[in-house]
Amino acid sequence: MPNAEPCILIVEGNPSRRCDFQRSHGSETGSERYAGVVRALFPQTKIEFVNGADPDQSLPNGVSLSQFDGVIVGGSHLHAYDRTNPSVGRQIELVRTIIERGIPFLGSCWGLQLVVVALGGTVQPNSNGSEMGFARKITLTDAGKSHSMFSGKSIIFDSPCVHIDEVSQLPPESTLLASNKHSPIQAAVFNTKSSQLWAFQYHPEFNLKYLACLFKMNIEDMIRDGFYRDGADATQHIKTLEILHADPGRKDIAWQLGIDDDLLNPNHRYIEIRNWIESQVLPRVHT
Amino acid sequence: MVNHPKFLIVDGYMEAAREELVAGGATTAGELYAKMLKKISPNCVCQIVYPSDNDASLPSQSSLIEYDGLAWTGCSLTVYDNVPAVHNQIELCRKAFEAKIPSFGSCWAAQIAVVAAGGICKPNPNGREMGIARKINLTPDGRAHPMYEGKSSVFDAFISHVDEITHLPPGSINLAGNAFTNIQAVSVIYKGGIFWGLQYHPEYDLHEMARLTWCRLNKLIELKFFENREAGENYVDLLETLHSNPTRKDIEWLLGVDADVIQEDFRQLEVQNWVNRLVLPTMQMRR
Repeated sequence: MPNAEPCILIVEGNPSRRCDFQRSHGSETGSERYAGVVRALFPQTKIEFVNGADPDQSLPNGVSLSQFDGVIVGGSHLHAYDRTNPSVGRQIELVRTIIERGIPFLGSCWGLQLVVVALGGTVQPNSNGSEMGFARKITLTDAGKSHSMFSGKSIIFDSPCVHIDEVSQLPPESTLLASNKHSPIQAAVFNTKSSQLWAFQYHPEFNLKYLACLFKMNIEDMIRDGFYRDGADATQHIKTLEILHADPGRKDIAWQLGIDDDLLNPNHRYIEIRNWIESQVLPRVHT
Repeated sequence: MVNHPKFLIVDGYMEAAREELVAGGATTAGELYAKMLKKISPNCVCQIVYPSDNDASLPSQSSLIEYDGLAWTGCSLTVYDNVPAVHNQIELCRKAFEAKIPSFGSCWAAQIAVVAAGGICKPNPNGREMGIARKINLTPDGRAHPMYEGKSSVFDAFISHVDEITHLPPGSINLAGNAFTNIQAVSVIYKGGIFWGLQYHPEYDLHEMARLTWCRLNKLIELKFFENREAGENYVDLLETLHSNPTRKDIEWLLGVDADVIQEDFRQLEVQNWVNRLVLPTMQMRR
């Protein structure tokens, strides 16, 4: 009997040490955040986790890659061009295996960058610096407007994001779907022989609470990079984001910080993830 | 040959409303327009008329011919109110159309042009759009229009309005819109005259927006843009600080304010295009 429920593998892109650091700041890990979104959208989904960065990465006993109807890779603080780092190399290998097996793939940020290097494109530090927290005025290309990834999405939108690296060259089998001024490659699809991979530079899976935790973890770097003048400004901003997360009805905060409904409302923010499950994952479950 | 256009600036604010702005540290709308036009066209002549004043003597059709362009400011009146100050301005606008004087304007001005030519304005069901109009997107007509030559297809702009254009008369074209307001820019052609109108305000800068916000603080608190007076004053301070110190990237990032509104040449490109693509060529044809 075929799977009645979709079965999705979520790859944690950060080493366990980094995940513990995140938890110590009261945050979920990136993979847990993604799992929360998938469960909210499709509660019947069976989810397994694997840490892609750790040396002893392995699937739970009795589970093989071929059982999955889809694989998701979210963020990581690693750099895709850091090829001597085994935590990077083994994730590129994992993505190559997923591509060979033709398993539907969804990637945010690090997930995008992994696919790009796995297929021969390049990733570099962004010459505009970090795009921190909010990717603004992401605009769909003509291909993006007609792609099922963005069915129901506004053609211009803001989205959560945190990255310092960006895709500098897409591999040949890719189509650019969205851009903004900071990062010309904000979303793309990759058509390989056996599957289509979907990926974005931004993080539709994040919410304001998760962003607030990331900022908390990175206060010193953010002061150094000019996002905050000092610790007091940082604490104030982080607190304000937490208030807005707890009460999205606080239109005053949303307006003052330029946080529109496209980012605040999960029904709009998660559209790409919903579309991926509906158009790439569920058809596999049903055949 | 002489290329010094003579502009008539129509400042529709009532005298009391102008005094309120000045008391709050803001520049009156007419002076602000004169400053912008002189920056764009340094040798131009600007005369300001206040049609809402009780003793206002409005130019006759024959005296309108002396001007190379009519520039209309914003206004705190309501275009569908049945009062003499509004009737006078609709009448003046019709005369300018008939005299074929190239016209331009912000906010109220676009609404006056549309109503004078037979279109309709109503309260925006989304309420007041204040501060920054986000993610304005050129329509295909806007992308091809001379007013937007050199402008990016997606941008933010300063704004403050509660009414919007709901129905365009024949001969008018919608050039831009955003999620809040369908019609953010229009070209109105009526009786052979041309009026380019913007719902937003290229003449404002961060300081003027700070002063306007300060002047409207009680109303903005009532409308839930600010939780209280302290929050409002804090926001005004941030705008003023960024205006006087453009290196404060932390404030830009915090408020989601970027070069679209800060960089004057980009912000005022529509006005520059109006002068270069409509006013000056019309002057040459008339000579």
